[in-house]
Amino acid sequence: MTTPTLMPSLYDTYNAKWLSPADVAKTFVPPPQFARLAKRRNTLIVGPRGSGKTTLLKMLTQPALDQWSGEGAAQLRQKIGYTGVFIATDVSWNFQIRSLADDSLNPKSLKLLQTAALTAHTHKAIVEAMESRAASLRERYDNSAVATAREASLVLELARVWKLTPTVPSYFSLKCALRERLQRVHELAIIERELDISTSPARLIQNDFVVLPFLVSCRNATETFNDIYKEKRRFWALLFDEVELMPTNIREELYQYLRTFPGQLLFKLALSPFDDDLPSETSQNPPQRDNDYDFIPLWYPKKRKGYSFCRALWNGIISDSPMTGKRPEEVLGKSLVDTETDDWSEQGTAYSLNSPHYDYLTELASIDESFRDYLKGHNIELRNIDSIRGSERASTLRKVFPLVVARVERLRTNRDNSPELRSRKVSTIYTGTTAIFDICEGNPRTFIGLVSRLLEHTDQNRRRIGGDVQADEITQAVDRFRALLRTIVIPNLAASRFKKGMLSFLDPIGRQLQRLSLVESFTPEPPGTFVVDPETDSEMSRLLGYALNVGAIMHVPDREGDEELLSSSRLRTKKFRLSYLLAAHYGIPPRLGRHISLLSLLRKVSTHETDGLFSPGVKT
Amino acid sequence: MREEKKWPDPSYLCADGKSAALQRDPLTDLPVLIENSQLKADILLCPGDLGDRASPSGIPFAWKGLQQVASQLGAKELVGTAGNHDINYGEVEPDVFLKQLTPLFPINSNALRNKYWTDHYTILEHSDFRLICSNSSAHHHSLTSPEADHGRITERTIMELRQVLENTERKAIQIFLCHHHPHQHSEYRLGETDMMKGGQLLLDLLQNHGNWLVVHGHKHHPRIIHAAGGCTAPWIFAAGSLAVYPNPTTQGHAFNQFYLIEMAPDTFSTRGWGGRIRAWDWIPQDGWQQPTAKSGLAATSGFGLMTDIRKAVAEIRTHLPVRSAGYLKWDDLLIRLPWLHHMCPLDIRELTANGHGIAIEFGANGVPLQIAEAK
Repeated sequence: MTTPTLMPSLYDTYNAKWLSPADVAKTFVPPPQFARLAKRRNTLIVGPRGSGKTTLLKMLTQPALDQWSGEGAAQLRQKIGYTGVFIATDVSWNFQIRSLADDSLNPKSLKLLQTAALTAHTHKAIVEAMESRAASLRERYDNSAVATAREASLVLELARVWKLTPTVPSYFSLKCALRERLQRVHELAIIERELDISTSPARLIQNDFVVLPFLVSCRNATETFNDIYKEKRRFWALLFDEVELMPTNIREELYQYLRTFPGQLLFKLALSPFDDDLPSETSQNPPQRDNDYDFIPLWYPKKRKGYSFCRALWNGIISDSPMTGKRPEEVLGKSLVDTETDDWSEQGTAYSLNSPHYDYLTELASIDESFRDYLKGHNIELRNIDSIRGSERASTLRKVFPLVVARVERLRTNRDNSPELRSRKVSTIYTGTTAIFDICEGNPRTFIGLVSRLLEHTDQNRRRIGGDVQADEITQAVDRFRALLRTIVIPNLAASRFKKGMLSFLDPIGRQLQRLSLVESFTPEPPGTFVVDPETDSEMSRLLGYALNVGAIMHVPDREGDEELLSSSRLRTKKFRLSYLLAAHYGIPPRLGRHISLLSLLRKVSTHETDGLFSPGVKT
Repeated sequence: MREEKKWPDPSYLCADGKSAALQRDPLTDLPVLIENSQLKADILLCPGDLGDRASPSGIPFAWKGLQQVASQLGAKELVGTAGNHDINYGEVEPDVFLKQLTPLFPINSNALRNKYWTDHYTILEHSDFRLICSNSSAHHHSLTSPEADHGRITERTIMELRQVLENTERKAIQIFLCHHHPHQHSEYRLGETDMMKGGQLLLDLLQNHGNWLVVHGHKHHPRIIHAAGGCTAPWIFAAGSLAVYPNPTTQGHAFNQFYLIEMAPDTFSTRGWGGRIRAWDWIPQDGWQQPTAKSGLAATSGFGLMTDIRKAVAEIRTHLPVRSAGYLKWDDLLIRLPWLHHMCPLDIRELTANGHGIAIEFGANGVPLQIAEAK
């Protein structure tokens, strides 16, 4: 199996990994999934880069809960019933541990050392959580001598079972000792590389901390805390972030912990939507979704599901600004294609004679014969637009209006009188409140990044942000996202067809969807999604997986609630769409549309593309 | 006028703006530290080497920058002294660039400045403190002369100082500022030949006239240590360099540092004579930061306490709980035993030596945080 590498992310300065839990809590806006995540259950929380996984896990820790003053905060604090232990997969141990993986180390030794590092790292996070929990309990023990005695008593016991010798019986000293242990793990790896490889595991297990059992040693610690601090019924939740970055064997081990174990230890794992080391594929008795653990997706295949969260994020962003209390529509305007409430009225709608909507429809009708055929097929005379009934208008005109705008803005006729695409910045259909919600997909980092930049264009006197400014900012966001995608070169690809990076794979798909929507004969529902064919080769599946993790494509399950963690094999037969941020680059309206087989889409590409680099990936 | 020659940059501080590659330097970053930490001082000391190779542009540039720092600190005086890198060797008047500085160098008073250049020392008297500013580079004229390899205080100067000190009252705070070190400072192969000739005689003189803190530069390796001698022998603070590029010899032991020396006579009755030195590190990409245990001086270091370490250990242990009952915060111990404020870093380390039964956990900034019975 190949461990995914760290994916770059748009607006990474807003990444919660740089913030302490208390700081995360200061601006926290709970998404709809938060209440479910907070339950006393094992959980897999899954989402692409920027979807808020780190924020949510940090919010389950004591310092964040103590700091959080938002709606429902007090209730949650009372209800939560466990102490969260946030375990970051950061450079301090993970990449160093991964770097140990080479041929000069016995595989058994590598596994021993990686587990020892994970154990020490987790123990350190547990001590940090204990320190925070003890501080919040301190008011019950107002005698500081008693508090210190409890701390010493716990630290000495943990030191005994974890085989540590802290200088002073304090949390701080215990953390120092664990830092030294992490260093010792790396020292051992360096030493073992120089010694006889065959006897390496035997030598390593002479170090008592190398054979500490991970799960038992964690549970021992939390139970000891509960005994000393008289919290017998308290649970502890180990909150592992960025699990996809961990070494394969550790990931497999963590997945197994999602099975319900006796005791008061919970596991909540945050990871990207694609992983080739899924429990069901690596184990004979994998943990069962809904029985052993809850599965929580952090993306919104149907765009409207993310709107309420976007509105809450908006209120959070403007809360300390002069615009406090303003609705996004008052600042960003209404989207041109957002006329839903108008559609059922008989008069005074956006679709009246000489309205902007009427102008778009007539303009397309003047340049696009296939659209004229569409109107004719539905017996629509645009000059009689005012007499079209509301329900008919919704099913014939409103339904296709985003497509109409996109075609008007991108289509022109060439000398042969055939349609061709012209380049332009992001389409008008991507500006306005709900369009910006769409483009951000309920991804908080994208939303905060984009909206914060948009708000830089406002001042006391001029608070409305024009469509041109929005289009410029969105174009910049798209360009930055594409620049990031360009930097992702997938390791270990046998073929050279994608050597130019992820975009060399995604661009042909995007251009073909663009052609089907904007260039070919008008159809009210052109393909907007693609299904991965069963015969798709593993290399292409892996590319799709990486695109999924970085948020360039989205899994669209047939039914809500059917979102799942995907592997190379599980990707096949699943339906996907381009992220709306990427779709904006091609001018494709943010709609699901019909689906089309990926391979047939790519076969069409190979007939249209001229660079010769692309050929459909079929298993041979 | 000597022409500026081109040498490899010896310092992060460049008068001609060459440090622009870093977009920052220690001196221009200082106002941020002073503002953020709300630092105040009565007097700003600079123990020499304003520039390198007697740079005619570098020396005035640094002196002007120090004036601004002094002003921001609210310091009534800025006092410098000549370092060997400020000397234009081979010239008829090798220290001419220092003599031409405005405001006046080493102190902005005609009388005191003239005394310094004439007698190689000057004395700043104040109701609370006395500062002797000595020119240990006064005999540097030629690089080919052995005199350029070390500092010096002459017997004549010492004799004059003796007369002054015997005929004036001792002050609670007495500081001796010079560039070269008056006793050996040769760890990390820093050399034994460059110390101030006559240094031992100077230290003997000072210890007979109250308590003294000697502040010197030159070594670029921060250290606070008691001089050889009796219990009133001076404490010697080797200040690290503000801006020099790291020396490979002391890499990992000496960062670029800025200091605030705190001495409060009203605490001498409980803490004994002495003080505390607060330190900050300058990191090229990050500006002024809290130091680490490997910076040279930790965030706070004491000086002034002379004690039998066994006696100190015994007294400290009476305040410690048994190990199973916990530990004491170092700050709480300081309240109980105020004299510990003035214990120097070497002695604090010594408290944890085998057999004393004391364990101390240090913070990342090198300062003791917690203390307990040893295992």
